[in-house]
This record gives sequence, structure tokens and C-alpha cells, in this order.
Amino acid sequence: MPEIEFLIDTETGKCETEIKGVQGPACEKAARELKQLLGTPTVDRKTKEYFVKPEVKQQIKGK
Amino acid sequence: MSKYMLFESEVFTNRELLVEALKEMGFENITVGTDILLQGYDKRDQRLAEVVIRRESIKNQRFYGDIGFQKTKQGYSLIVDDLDLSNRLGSDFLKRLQTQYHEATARKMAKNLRGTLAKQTVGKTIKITVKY
Repeated sequence: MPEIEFLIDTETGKCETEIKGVQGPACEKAARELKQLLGTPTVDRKTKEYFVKPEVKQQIKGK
Repeated sequence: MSKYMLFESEVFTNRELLVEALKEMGFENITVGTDILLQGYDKRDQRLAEVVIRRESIKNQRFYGDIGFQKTKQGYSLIVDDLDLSNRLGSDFLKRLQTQYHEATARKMAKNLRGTLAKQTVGKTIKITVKY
């Protein structure tokens, strides 16, 4: 299940976000929406999972 | 995990969320408009803002000037009298406002994505998880 985790440091006001469980560029939509609301991030990096290609299952139908 | 981002800005991008965050902090009368003249500032240095809390609307405290947020290219930026900030609002005002703004952002994202929201406070860190 996809999720977005917010870690808000109440002392500094900083907010870390992680978009999890979304493989590939599908997470860009959520990231774009976050940037629209929070502005330009000072750190913006893709993680290993970002580059994982979605698994495609091949189904062979019998005659 | 597929993407990590860190947000540190003290300028607020979204007006609706800024107003929500201010209300969460207890400011009830917030005026929204364009080029609203702030009261309580030197006439030679008149200040205009788009989001305004009038000084007389703040209960139990006498402020020198209105609190305003002026629209800039990056977002809404705080205008406040230095003495009001240090003696009345507290020097951590912006940090507290950022915290409320970030929480409001999480609520907005949960709503937009039709997801669920779980909040947990651990020490000085608030952890919010939005599942969708």
C-alpha cells in the first residue's frame, strides 16, 4: 500500500517526507503535489526503489 | 521507499493551508485580500500584505502592529513588529507555524489522495503517515 510519511521536527520546523511503496515514476504525481503545497525542497532525491521496474506477470492462456 | 524530500522554508506556499495553520494556533480573525495596509507600522515604511491578523483582534495581548503575510515569488512571508515577535508571539513563532502548516499539508494530502492519516508524537518529532 503506498504511503507518505511526514517527519516534522517541532524544534526546527523542518519537515522530511518519504513516499513509500510506489515503484517507478508513479510517485512523481504525489511528489509534485507535495512541492505545490510545501515549496521547493532543499533535498530531493530518488531512492533505490524508484528505479525498480514494476513487475509484469505474463499469463499464458491455454487453447 | 521511492522518494525522499526535505522542506525547510519559512515561506508558506499555499494560502489556504497558511490560514488553517494560523487558526490551529488560535488566531480566529484572519483577513484575506490583496494589498491590505498593515496598521501599527511607521508611515514612512508602510507595509502591505495578503493575509492579515489585526492587532486589535488578538485577545489578551496588546500588539504594536498587525501580523501580516506578504505574497512573494516563493510564497507568503511573515511581516511582524520585532518587539511583537520577541515579547508576545515568541521567537519560535515561525517554527510553531511551520509545524502547524506541515500538519495541515499532511491532512490535505490525505484528503486529496482519499487516504487515511495516522499521527504519532515521539519526543519533539511528529510522525504522520498517510496511506492511500
